[in-house]
Amino acid sequence: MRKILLLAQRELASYFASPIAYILGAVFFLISSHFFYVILSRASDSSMRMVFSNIMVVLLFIAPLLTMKLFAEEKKIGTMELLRTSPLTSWQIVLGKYLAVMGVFLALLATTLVYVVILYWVGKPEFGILFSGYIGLFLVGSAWLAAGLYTSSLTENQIISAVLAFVLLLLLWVLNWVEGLVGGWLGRVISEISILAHYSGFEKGIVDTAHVAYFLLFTFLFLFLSARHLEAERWS
Amino acid sequence: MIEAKNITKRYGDKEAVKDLSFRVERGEVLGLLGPNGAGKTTMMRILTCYMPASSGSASIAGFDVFEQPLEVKKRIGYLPEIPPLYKELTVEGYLKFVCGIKDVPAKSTLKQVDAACAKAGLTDVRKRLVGNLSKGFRQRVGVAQALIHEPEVLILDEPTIGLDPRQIIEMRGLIKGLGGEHTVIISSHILQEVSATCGRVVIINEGQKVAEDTPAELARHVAGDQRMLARIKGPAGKVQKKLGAIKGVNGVELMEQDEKTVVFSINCSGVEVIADQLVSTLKANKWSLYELKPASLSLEDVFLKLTGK
Repeated sequence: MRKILLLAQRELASYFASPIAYILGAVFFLISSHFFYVILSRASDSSMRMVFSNIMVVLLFIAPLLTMKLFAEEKKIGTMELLRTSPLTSWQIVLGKYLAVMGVFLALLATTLVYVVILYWVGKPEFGILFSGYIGLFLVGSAWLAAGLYTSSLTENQIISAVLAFVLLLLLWVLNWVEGLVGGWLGRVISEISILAHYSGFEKGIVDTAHVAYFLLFTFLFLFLSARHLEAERWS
Repeated sequence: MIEAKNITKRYGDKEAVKDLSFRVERGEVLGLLGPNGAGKTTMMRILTCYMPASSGSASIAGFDVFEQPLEVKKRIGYLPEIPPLYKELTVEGYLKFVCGIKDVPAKSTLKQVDAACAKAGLTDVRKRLVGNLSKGFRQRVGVAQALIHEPEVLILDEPTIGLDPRQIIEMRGLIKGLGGEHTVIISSHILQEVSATCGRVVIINEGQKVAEDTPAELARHVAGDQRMLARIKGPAGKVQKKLGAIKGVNGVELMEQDEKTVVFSINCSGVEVIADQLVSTLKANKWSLYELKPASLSLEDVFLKLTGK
């Protein structure tokens, strides 16, 4: 555990040592604030439902950019050789990196608390719905960052890593659109894999354990694949 | 301490290492010598558990690199070909990080960082960012990183590459000093490098062991005949003839010629045997000697000798 935290700490420091965390943070805050303002002023509704959906879209673009460097950069500059010849397990390396990128994600998410303050100031939002919305965003973010971490482990090129992550996330997002086309049990299975179907409940204030389990499983799966890939890479 | 048995590593069809075996005793400094692409880095990566061998086995301090990689990794310090550095950290911050992942107890971290900085000559640049250091200093940070947890075994891949001559001498001194306390393997493609630092040399070419001996023995074995280069002012043909007649000279070859001088390569049993006669011959004919130096045996020469091709 001490080593995981140490790895996470180093990774987190490297995010803030380069402009990437600041730029992505600024872009995220700018765009989500724009959505918040437009939606609040048009809808005159003291809830974040629409805002959360839009933040999701922003995250879809930002998550691959956050995760792209995780493994790709270390492979490129050769520090992977240090990690892989040190007494560390693949899981420790994966979890260290995952914790770090989750830290950055939570910092991004924290900026949106400003909107909550404003909502309480101008109206009477319902706490439960806000809270479940945040749980939903957190779970979606966790899952996407895990997927991005995995694509980063596949390559030493950050751009390829980001593109792979983006395509993967987008496909998983829109997968439920084909439900009507395919139909039957297969359509059902496909739509169950899709992210969107599992997220929508959280916006309405429903925290369904089945959906929570979906995101946790999704996260675990990609962390597991990353750890396996690190092991497998030794053989190539 | 280190034992490699019949190691073979294949990349697809290509065999990077072929049936390579060697042993290194505790406290010994072993040199892996070979041209670029001979399989030195591959062999080191196998010993450090970075990648497994296709066949064969290796153990470090009694632990198998394949079966017990974590135990092996605790006992080794490794400097890869490219020093694995995080440019955004300070030297001190980086070394502390390495302490953490190498199981150095938190209490003794500072002490170990101090010791490694002193050994690698980094004390003056401790607070600087690794990314702002010169190549020579980065190489030293790489060495400090390998030493920091006082591992039993040190594996250094081309430790003097990119250093200036003064730093090379310092680094050789450092490596020599590591023997005894640590068991060390260094790789190099420079013959002088390993003769200066290693107690024993394994020469590999195209993944196979060509020779294994002490540097002195190897040099004797290889250089039964010594080659001297002499730059002489005089008529080329005549000089060659006269030089060839000197006792102890086994052959004279014309290497290059400019308007004034001619360079000859003289094969002889030793410079001490021919020196007096050479000088008197030149004097008698009023030819001037501009330069006389031993032709250093290149690695290629060593291979040619050893492989008998």
